[in-house]
Amino acid sequence: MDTLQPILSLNGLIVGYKSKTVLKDLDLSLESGKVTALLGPNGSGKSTLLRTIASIQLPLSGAVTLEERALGSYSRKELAKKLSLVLTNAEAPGNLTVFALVALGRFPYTSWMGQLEEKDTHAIYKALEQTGLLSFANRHVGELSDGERQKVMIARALVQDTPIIFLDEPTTHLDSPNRIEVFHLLREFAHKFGKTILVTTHEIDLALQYADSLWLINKEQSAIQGLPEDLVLNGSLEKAFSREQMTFDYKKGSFTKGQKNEAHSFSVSGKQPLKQWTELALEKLDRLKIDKQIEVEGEVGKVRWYIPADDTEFYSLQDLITFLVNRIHDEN
Amino acid sequence: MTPQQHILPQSRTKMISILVGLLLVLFVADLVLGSVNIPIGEALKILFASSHENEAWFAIIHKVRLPRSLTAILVGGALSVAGLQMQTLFRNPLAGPSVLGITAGASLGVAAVMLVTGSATTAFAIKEMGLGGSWLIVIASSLGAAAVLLIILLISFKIRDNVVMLIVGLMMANITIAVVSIWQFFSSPEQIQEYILWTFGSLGGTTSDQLSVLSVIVLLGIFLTFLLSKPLNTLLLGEAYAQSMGLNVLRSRVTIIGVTSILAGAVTGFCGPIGFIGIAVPHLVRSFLNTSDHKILIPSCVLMGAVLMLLCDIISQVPGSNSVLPINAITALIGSPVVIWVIVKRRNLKASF
Repeated sequence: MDTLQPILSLNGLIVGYKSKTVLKDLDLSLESGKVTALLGPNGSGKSTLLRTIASIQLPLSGAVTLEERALGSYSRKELAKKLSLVLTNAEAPGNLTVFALVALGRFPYTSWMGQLEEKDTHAIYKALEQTGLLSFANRHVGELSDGERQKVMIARALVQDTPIIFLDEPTTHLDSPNRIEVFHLLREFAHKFGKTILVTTHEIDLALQYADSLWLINKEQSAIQGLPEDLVLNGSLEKAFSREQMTFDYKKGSFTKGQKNEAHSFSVSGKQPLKQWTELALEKLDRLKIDKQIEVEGEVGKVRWYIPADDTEFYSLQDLITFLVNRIHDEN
Repeated sequence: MTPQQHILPQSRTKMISILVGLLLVLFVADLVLGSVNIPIGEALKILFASSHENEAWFAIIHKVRLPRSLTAILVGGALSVAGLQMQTLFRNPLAGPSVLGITAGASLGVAAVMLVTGSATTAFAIKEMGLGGSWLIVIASSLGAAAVLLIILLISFKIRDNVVMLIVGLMMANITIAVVSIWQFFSSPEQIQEYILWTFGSLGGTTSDQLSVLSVIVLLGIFLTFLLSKPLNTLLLGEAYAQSMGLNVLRSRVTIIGVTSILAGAVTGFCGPIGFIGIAVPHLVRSFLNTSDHKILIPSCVLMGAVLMLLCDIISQVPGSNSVLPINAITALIGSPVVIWVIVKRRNLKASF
């Protein structure tokens, strides 16, 4: 860990509502210029925590320190220059152009009528460029896809020009490529432009892949902090998400349900990634017992499978599996 | 690309000039048409030159038609801007000045004046009272609106959710209407008749004294709304975003509701509870201008509201005949199909919120 002074730290923080404590004993910190993922199962209190440290709701007790000052001592205006938000549902009014929506982010800097000056316009174009939205500037937000709209909201947070950006489940409604793109952007902002980013997510794979640091909500209604890889290797991640009949696959970094079929005794030889995908397909045949030796060769786009024992070759896994299944039926 | 291009593309400038043109044409038409049709040339001469040939025409234009046309413009502008603010604040296409019980509250105030003070204060008597009487009605209706609003504001400190607030507003309106109807039940038929006539709405009842009162209130209200464009724009993203950008959401909400109640309360006091305009005009404007930017929407709503109100007034006069239809019926009859047409054609109603 770096010895840098954290930009934001929580000490003994308890968050929740009058009638219900959601998370307690929170001692966490955000390091400048890094992507931190707040990871936890659905309903574990990620949003409540985020809302509390974004000063939208009050903590039940404990302290939040932002740049060496108590969070509560910041005025709304001061805070708007320190923290910006991106929320789950793209609550974007479709009737605005991308430019006009992003321009709303200049709120803390513009005059009371919101007139844009040259430096505002400059900041807006810069943010549009950084999010790859420059060609969309004059499009209406309503015409955009969910992924593009979320990028508009991220650009809006960028023009607010805050050292810290909080994102609450920003990828929930997005498809896989868009998710990856959003997380990729966040890494870029952190590492290239020094933004400090806290992003809540329930998607373990994304958090592991893209976060520099994790705040992991555990079963004790609290959270622990560490490198994603550390939290995997010390078993915290498995414990935090564990449920009955769920096992954490330490090789793949994801959870699986059900017992692994131990009956298989096949072996696949060949290079990656062909070997791995072949094994994945065969492992799914969990009511069968496959004991062949299989060779795989070629490359993605042109793959050939070969079973030396039967001297047969295949050009798709489907054909291979059909052959294996038929053989087992014949033998019975 | 300059920022100006984003704010005022050519088509938008064209739209606004068309609205200004329409406003002028309809304003003149409203002066010319009616039970007696006055030639345009004569009407303009009466309006701008001191000399005139026909005493009767002079009286009709200066005493009747000019105040009525000006009232129509003020009412249209005020209700549209009030509706726009409510739709943005509640992020709901069905919001309007009437949903928060503002109109109902104003009705309660007017009903209180008419039904309590008894036969002395008929609508006719109020008209004859001049400045003092006009203030009485405005104060009564604004107090009625403010009373309902005060309750809603108190609740809004507790409730952060705007959808819940909208439902609370609708319920408050229902309660207020219920109170008025109980009141009516125990009143004499003559008093009820006066009140019912008032609910039909009328642009013709304003004297020049009342007109100056109304103009001051409406112009002030529209000016205040324009000052609120930045918070209104920010509220388009929802309260969480607005707050994160440094907007004092509670203060903005109180100011917006306050300005709306003054606008809607004053108009309702003078002209009766005029429906439809407040809900419809913001939709029309957003559709035609294809923007949600309040710096453009507010002036355009004023123009569009004035144009629609003038059109409705011309129709309600049934040119060439001696009968006059209630303005409230006309706004709904003419306006609703227009709104349906626009919404079906453009399909961007939902995208606006």
